Amino acid sequence: MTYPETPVREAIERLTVPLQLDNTADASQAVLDRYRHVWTPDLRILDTDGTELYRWNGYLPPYEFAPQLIAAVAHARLRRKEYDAAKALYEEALRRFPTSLIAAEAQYYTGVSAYRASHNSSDLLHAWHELEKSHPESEWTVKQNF
Amino acid sequence: MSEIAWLGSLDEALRAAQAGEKLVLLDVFNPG
Repeated sequence: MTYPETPVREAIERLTVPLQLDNTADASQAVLDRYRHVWTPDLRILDTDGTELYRWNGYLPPYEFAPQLIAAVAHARLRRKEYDAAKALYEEALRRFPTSLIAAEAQYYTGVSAYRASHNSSDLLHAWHELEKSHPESEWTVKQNF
Repeated sequence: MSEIAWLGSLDEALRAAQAGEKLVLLDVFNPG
């Protein structure tokens, strides 16, 4: 079970309003159609008007779910142009869960959110240089080339 | 250990998110 674990519960309660829908219930079908639901586990981060800002599928153990959730909310904040909030959450995910599966992506977007906040290219390049050192084999290191 | 207070209605969750300046985590699950 992932949700009872303290880091997961703490992140959910601190960062989100949690909503759970049973995909076999008749009452859920209109919302599931709206979000084009296909497969469980199906996790979405929704804006306050219902706009989907981030999604992922698939089971994650607690030590992966917590950083994934923190990074997911960071992505959502980034898309809302809340760059400082996004950067702080990416940095939290990296600080608390440095070896998680989401770490390379979080490092990539730490640079993006820092740059979008400052418009200083050195902020982007510094974060991406760190990404290259910490995750040389990651797809996110490939994606930082331009 | 306390349990997460999951809501069961999208409208209710969106209203709570607006009031609390949070975002909604939607978890769709299969009970089977």
